[in-house]
Parts: sequence; C-alpha cells; structure tokens
Amino acid sequence: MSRTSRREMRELLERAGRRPVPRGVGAIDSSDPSIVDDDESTRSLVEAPGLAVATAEMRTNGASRGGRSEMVALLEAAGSRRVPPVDPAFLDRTEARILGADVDSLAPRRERRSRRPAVIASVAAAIAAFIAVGALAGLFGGGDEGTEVAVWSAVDTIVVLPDGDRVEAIRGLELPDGTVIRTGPNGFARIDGVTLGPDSEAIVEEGRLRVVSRAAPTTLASTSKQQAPADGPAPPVVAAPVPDAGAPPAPQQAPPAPSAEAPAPTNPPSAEPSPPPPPLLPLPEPILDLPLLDDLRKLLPLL
Amino acid sequence: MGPAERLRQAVASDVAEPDDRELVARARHDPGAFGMLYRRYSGRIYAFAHRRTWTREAAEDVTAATFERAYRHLDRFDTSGAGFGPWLFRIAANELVDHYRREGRIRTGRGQRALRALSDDASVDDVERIERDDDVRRMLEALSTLRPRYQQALSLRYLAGLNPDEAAEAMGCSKPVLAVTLHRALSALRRAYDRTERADEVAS
Repeated sequence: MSRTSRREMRELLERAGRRPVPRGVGAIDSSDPSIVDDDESTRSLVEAPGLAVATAEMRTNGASRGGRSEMVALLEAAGSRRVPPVDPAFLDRTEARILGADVDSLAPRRERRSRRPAVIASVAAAIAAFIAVGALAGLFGGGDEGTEVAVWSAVDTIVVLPDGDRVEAIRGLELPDGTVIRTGPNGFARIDGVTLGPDSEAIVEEGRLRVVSRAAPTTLASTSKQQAPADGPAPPVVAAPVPDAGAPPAPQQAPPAPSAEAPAPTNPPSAEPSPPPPPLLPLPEPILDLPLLDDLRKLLPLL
Repeated sequence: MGPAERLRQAVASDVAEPDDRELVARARHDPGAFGMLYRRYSGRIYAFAHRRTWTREAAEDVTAATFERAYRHLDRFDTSGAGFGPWLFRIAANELVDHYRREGRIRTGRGQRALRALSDDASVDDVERIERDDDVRRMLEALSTLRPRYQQALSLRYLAGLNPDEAAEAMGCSKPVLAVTLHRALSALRRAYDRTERADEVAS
C-alpha cells in the first residue's frame, strides 16, 4: 500500500462503494441513519483564507496528509467490507444462552468477587504508577505526543487540526502540532498562558504556540466594518510581532478584549501612508513566556 | 374517526417497534425485551467484529461476549445519556481490545501472498482484490498494536460506522476531543503500519 498513490486509493474506495452490499444481517444498511457519508467530514474543511494559508504552509513544511489519507482510505475500505452473513444457528444459540441463563451465571470469566481485594490493590498500584509515569512524562516531555498545548479557555474560537478537521475550541482540549487556532471577531482564547484576542491566529509548533497574526486593537467603528462582509474574504489581519519573551509586560489594566466604549480614531483616513497609531487597547502579553521558563523548558529534555 | 381507522391505528401501534430506551427499561425485568434488542443489533455488532477480526469464530466470540456483558450490566446503562447503540458498540470495542490482548497480534498477509504466488491463473481483478485485502489486513494488524483508546476511536468511527456524534457518545467524550483523538490515532496507525510493512518485507 505504501506504493499506492492517493488516486489509486480513491479508485479503490469508489470501486468498494459501487460494490453491491446485500441487505440483511451482517450487511451495512445504507438507509441506516447512523451510517453517514464520510464525505461530510471532508466537506467541513476550512476555507477561511488565513487558515488555508496556514494549513497549506504546514503541509509544505512536512505535515504530510497523504499517509493519513491512506490510513483513512484503508479504514473506510475495512469498514465497508462485505461481511459474510452471520450464522443463524449461532444467533439462536447465543440468544438462548443469554436469555435462558440467570444473569449472575453469565460470564464472570474471572471470579471477581473472591479476587476483589487483589484487584483493588492492583488497580490502585496501576493508578499510582500511571500518575508517576504521567508526571515524569510531563516533566521531561516524553511520550508519543510530546509536550501538550492545551486550551485554557476560549470563546468564539475554532481549532483546525492538521488533517483539516475543524472543531470548536473547548476548555482542556489538547492541541497537537500543526493545529491552527483562530479567534472570531468576538473571540478570545487563552492557550498555555498565551492570550489571543479577536481575529487572531496562532499555530502549534513543536509543542509551543506561535502567534501567526494578531489583529490590532479595534475600535467600535473598525469592528463593525470587519463584521460587515459575512461571506466575503476575511478582512486583512494586521500582523503583530510575535511576543518577545524579553519584552516588558503589557499594562495589566487593559481588558483582554476590545471594549465597545473605546474611542473612535480621530484622524481622518488619508491617502498618504502614515505610521500606524499606537495601540489604544494593547492585548495582554503571555504570562508564561518568561525567559527563565524558556531556558528551563530547553534544559529539561537534557536532564 | 371511524372504527376502521381506530382499528388500523391500533394495529399500527402494535406493529410499531418500541424504541431502544423503552426496550432497555423493559429488559431490566423482561428478558424478552432484551431479546428484541439482541435481534436488532446482533447483525451490526457481528459485522463490526468481523470487519475488525476478519474471522467468523472471533467475530462470534466478540458478539456473544458483547451481548452477555450488556445484559449483565444493563442497569448501568443511563437512559438519559448516549443511546443504546453507541453504548453497545463501546462494549464491543472494549471486547475487541480484550480479544487482541488475549490472542496477541493477528498475523496476516503471508497466506494471501502465498495464495497469490500459487494462483498464476488468477485474474488481474483477483490479484488487485488480494492486494487490497492484504493492505487492509496489514492495517488491521497495525491497529491492534495501538493503545486501547486509539483502537476504540478508530474502530467505532470507521469500522462500526458510527457518525461523529455517536462515536463521541460511545467514547464518552466531546466531539472536539474525539477529533483530536482520531487525529493522533491516525498518526499512530500510520507509524504502526509502516513498521508492520517493514517487518513483512524483512520476513518475505
């Protein structure tokens, strides 16, 4: 399969989809509402310009999607595989055994009652070991998935996984490498100590969050202007420099989201380029992006 | 409403099958109601198990164990939560994980390749089918080496044919968490598949 191109996989799937599948026991019933067309999930791919650029960039950076697509194709082929009909004698036998038997006599393949203390002890030991291993893995960045970036809180924020799946950002959601986070016009997100204001975009790279673009603080007028084109291309996002770890912290009195009571810009629009005005409502800077923590993070794997 | 209409409605109400929740509530006291659930889902559970295990015997074992466990723990089913179907598929997915723990890895592929080598007169379609089956089997072998949660997520979503809502319900998590789990599971499957393929190449 490794030599199988995506085109070939698609043909395979199409052929599998055309194959007649008998109705009845053991076969997939296409009228079954629980069986959906998986194209639905691929149709939900993100088309927002900023995200499209980011995901395209990720793909060219090596976050290959081909291998994953092949796996999905194989899984779908396995899921649509024709299954021989179940033996009616087996069904009758099993039904009679289950329904004819006393519930207590069904199963316990293991004598659970007599083994309960031992089971509890072993479960407790396993949990303790799991916690210890988890703590160590967390400390030293071990494990399959490396360091985890997680959503602390989010409002009006979407997450685009590297495979294109688009989901709502919810508290506690862990974000794998390559994930793009985008806040909406009224969005706000705190991810691993980094705060994203409205219309911002960030990407998870090597277990860390990198702010790709962060909208300039907006006023009431500019906010309403941005919201106007509902279906059109996204408004240009004013890129701001990635927060510098050594920069002095932002004023803490500023609220995290733009306020509707902020004063409108006083300068009339001019044809001549002029330097951007200083931010009226600076966004809070990342709290944990301190140089000392960075150094510690780099040192931990070496320990 | 005339008598004929009333009679027709009465017959229709008798014929209409009760929904899952109603049957589960009845099944706690009436084994016959569980029998209806069994007949309703046994085919799908068997098909799910067969797509994963590829053998009739294993599929029957998993199917029987799934319904036995469901019947035994029917009181744990929360009628206000996920539906009976996702709950049942979750039990089946757990049984499949247990099955592979007990049986070890499935070894597949070589038999198919031997068959391909022996049957010189096999048509192109036959060879393609065998090759595709080989790939699917290898993928299933790789799937059985993943951590249980990844196996469950991939199996429920792709092999059981549950939609994202149902799969998330069956996994006991939200849809975003399921999406992240599936993403990671697919990455892990890709790596496991490559390892399996390399091992097969060395073996052959």
